[in-house]
Amino acid sequence: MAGIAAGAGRRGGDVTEAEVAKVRRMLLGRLYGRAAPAEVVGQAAAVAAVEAVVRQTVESGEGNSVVVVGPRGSGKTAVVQQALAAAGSGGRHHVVRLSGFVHTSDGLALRDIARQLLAAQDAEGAGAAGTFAEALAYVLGVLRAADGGVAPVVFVLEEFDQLAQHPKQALLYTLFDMAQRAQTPVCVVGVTARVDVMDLLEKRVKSRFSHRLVHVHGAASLEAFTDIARTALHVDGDSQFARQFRQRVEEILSTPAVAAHIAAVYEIDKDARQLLQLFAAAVARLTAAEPLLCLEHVQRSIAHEAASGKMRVVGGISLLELSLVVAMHSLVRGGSSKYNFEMVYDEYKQFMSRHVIAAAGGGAMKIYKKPVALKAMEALVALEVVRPAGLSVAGPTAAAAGRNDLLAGTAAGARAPKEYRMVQLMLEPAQVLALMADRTDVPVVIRRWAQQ
Amino acid sequence: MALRSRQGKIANRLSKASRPRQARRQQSSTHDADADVTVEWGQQLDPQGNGSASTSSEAQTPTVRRVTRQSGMSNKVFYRSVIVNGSEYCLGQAVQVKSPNDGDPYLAVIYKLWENEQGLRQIVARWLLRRTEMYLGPKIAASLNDEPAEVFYSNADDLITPEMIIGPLQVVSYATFVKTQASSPASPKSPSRRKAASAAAGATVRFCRRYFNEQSAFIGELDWDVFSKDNRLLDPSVDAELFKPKDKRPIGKDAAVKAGRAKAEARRNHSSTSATPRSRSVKSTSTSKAKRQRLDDSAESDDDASDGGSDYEDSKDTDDIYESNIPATPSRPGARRATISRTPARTRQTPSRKTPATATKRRARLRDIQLPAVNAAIQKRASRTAKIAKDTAAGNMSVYEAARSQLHVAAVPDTLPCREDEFAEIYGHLYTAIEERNSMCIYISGVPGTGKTATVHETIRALNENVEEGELPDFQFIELNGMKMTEPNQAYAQLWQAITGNRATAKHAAQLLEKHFSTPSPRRHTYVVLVDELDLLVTKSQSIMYNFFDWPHRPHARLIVIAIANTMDLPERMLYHKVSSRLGLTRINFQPYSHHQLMTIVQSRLEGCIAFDADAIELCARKISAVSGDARRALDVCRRAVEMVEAEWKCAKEAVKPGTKRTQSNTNSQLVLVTMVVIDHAIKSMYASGHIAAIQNASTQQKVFLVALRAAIRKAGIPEVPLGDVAFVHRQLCQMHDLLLPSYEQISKICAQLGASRFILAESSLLDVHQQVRLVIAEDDITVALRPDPLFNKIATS
Repeated sequence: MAGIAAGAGRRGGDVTEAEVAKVRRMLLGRLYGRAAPAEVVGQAAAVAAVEAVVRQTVESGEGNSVVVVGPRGSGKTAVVQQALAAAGSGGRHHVVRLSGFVHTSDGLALRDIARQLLAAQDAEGAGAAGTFAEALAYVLGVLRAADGGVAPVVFVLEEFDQLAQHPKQALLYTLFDMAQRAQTPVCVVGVTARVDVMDLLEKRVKSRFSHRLVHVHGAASLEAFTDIARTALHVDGDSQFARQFRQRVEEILSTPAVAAHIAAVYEIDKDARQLLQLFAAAVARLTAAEPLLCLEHVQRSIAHEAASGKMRVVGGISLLELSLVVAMHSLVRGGSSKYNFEMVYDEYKQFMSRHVIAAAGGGAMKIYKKPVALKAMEALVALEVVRPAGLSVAGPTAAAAGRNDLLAGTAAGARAPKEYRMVQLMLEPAQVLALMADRTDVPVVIRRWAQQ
Repeated sequence: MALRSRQGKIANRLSKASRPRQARRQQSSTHDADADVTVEWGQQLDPQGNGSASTSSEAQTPTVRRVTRQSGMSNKVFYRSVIVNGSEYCLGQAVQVKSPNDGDPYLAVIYKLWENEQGLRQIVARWLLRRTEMYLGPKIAASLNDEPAEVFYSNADDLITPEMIIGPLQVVSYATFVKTQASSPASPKSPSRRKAASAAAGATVRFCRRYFNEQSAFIGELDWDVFSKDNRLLDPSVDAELFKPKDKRPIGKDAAVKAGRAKAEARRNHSSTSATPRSRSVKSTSTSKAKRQRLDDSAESDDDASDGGSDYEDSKDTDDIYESNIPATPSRPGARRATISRTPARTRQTPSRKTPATATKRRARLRDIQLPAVNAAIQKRASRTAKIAKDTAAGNMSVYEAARSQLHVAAVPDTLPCREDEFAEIYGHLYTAIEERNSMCIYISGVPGTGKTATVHETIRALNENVEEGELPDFQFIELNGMKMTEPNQAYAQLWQAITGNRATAKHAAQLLEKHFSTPSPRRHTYVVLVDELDLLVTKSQSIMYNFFDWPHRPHARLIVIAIANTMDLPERMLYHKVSSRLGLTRINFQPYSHHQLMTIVQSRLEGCIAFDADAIELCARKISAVSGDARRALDVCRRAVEMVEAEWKCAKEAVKPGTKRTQSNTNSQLVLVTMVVIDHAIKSMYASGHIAAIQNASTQQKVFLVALRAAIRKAGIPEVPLGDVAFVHRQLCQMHDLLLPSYEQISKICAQLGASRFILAESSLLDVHQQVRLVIAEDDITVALRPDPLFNKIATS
């Protein structure tokens, strides 16, 4: 491993900084999904299906609509990009990209459509027009006038399900309606993770949608999954550098630790994005001095991925805090799902007085006073190891508001003194035990208490 | 300056007979209301504020007060003149009338003056139309040269109030006008100067040499000097001669129309044998009756006069035709009609109206007017369809491409097959309403994809053709779509913009429209407004719908509102009674297409296409009609099938290519047909939920999670379990079957992923292990999807 790293430094000496920078930019673009990959591994059928649809619009001016469905990280966007690239070669069509996460209202979407189509030259005019449909018609009218003909427009709607949440679904209605009218050739390509996307559409919108769904699935085999990384890290060319680079990628991919991690990702959720991110750190560190990927960086990312964030946070809590966690753990075991500080402290005191005092002379253990314990409890709340119970997360705003003043209370018992507000431990029993196992400074009594 | 002195006492004898339609209120009291004694009716009519000379006692002295015989309700007092702002205006005098937007004043002749029983002073004004105020067919419009000072005497009457008069107007004959222009010192020969001069004088001097029959858009010559002398223009007989209802078209054309009708009738007889069962019953019965009951002109015109202006009556009667003639038709919900008369006065006034004999007569007349036109339109539809098929066959695209483009939903044919009845009904309503210048509301319902909007568009196209041929007065078609508005209020702004071309905010537009439809104006045009996706205009107060359905009932509006929505019972279910009552009872329901109809639709589009197996179309039609009856779906399925076959065909072609050279016959024999198997496949690919395939392609741990969730739910006995429990089971399963043991974070991530795909429904991941998780997909789907997998077989059995 060290040998590979050292060898890289020596062999890469003949590559200029500019070349490396170019490769770096290209690879990072692919890893983060900004640039289309050279090839979408294992999705040929889906690409062909989308391409055929887009081609019909671009070449023969038919209106069309299609929705690409697949789990997150399965390559939907890559499929669409690939299809657009394949179908659009030489065509004089326009591509408009919208995303349900970005364009949260029809107004925003419209403004962006105008911006993308008209390159900001006349976006004001579109804003002034009354309704969405009117404004869109205006934008397309301007476009038509500018092109001197009818240029097909391909709408790519990322997070299609979010767009379907808009009131009345006016955006989708208008787009689908346009796809069904002969005036402007429009192709609507939706991209969503939700398999039940059809149920989201309002009946009129549904009737106008062509019911063409293209399903994209995750990689079919571990080899195919590894191939995704291989193609993403592929450097073209016949130079010595390129050859060495490709060889190094092979080496890294066949390293047992890396291979095992890739297999784990494959088994857990086949998320290509997570796979590619392993290499991002290594690619970002490419320099002329060290132009090849460094295994060490990849391994560090793997280690970082594997470590559990929560356990790392909880790992450093004080003994008192740990005792409170165990007290809550024992309350949970006793059958209560919610508890307040008083109950926890009571449990803690009972246990301590029964066991620690009885053990007599266990000088290290002492019962902390209530105010001290309350402070410790607040520290746990601040770490979000403990959360107020009954706080249903209605929306992102409620959750954000709830996070900052947890013990100050947001939900039901908001007006109760903090000792009496109900809380919940966010750790599973197994996690509490794991927490014990990781630490050496935990007294045996506490350890046994947790295991009871 | 043109103020006439008081006229001599002439009996203003008005007779009821053969008068063209006028403002309704007038009718009840028109006959023998002689106002041979006129009164100083004026002073009090000063607009408030500057009326210094107003004395109420004077105004309260009508000398003659006559109760009309027919109706005890209508005690109108007729007057000879009215004094506004100190100036006196007599019957027959030309005046300028305030226009609502303070633009050019409207010009009118005072035709009648009265005070009604509520003490309301009203003037029947007969508009003098400027050239720009007439809506003419393009041909006639082109034949008129533009004279700014010319006005046309019309039979367009309106009720105005004395306050609206702003000044007198001098109207002269053309000869006099030319003479004065020539003699006037400020008029040299150059036309431009002369024009300027006439414009300057135009405030008060106009000439009239022609009249305009608004009903028929007919323009005729008129000698104003003779005509206006001794108030001849007030003489109903002159009126009758000028605006004879039979004189609808220029003389030469009259014969042509008659011939056309005969032809239409012949066609009707012919077509009744080939029509669908339902439409046949309409046509055949109506044909025989229509023949039997050809009515003579006098009876017709009499009838014409007596039923003038009542749109309710007309729409009801039209429906009566349908109802009485189609006993075999399954009863449409819209067809249950109550007899509603607009005012109580009217009902009382004409009690004899409802006798069976007159009713039949009226129906016959209506049918006579309406059905030939309808049938002619239907005939046109048929001829057009044939043309399309020919076009397709002649196209030089490949068979598949042609089929695909024909099957595209965008390729809406000019005529919708299987919607003949609905077309006829809508067409009939609109034709009558436009021809008689009535207002009305039509409510159309039907599930998506049944051709509602397309049928209305087709109707409008047909009517536009009628307008071009000069059969109908011109009208403007305006389309609003509730779905395409960002908020319901925009309907006002859009309508106002369509009518006037001006922009206004929604609120302002509402006020302007209100004014537009409730004030008299010579600039009256028939508007046909299509309100698509009506249910989206429902607001809390429902004021938008209220207004849209109320405007057609205003006396000054010529507004036809066609409302389209999906639900048949929207008026009952969602609308307040005051709204649904205004919506009226003209309802048309578009039934979902039956499989026969879907077959016809697909076949009509595929005429001349050899790529389809007949059974395949039938299968498609049956499958779709069983689900929704949505024509769009059927077309999409067929189109998809064509694509699939085309792909197959291309593959085959590629395979053959390198070897032998293909001949023409070879290609045809190789043509892959769309068979039932292909259709079945296409339908499955469109309607398959994709759940099973998605589960099968999920990662191992995701599958384990689903199985664990199912187990946890079963164990808990409730459909929702916290993630912690699922994670526990999940880890147990993994340990038991020697799988990778995921951490809680990883399980949480799996949960989020499955939640994003909506296999499961999970609360926010902020709640971590406490979030409640439930299964969205059916448990059976999991079982079916995982059965082939040996690992999960093992899990299931363990």
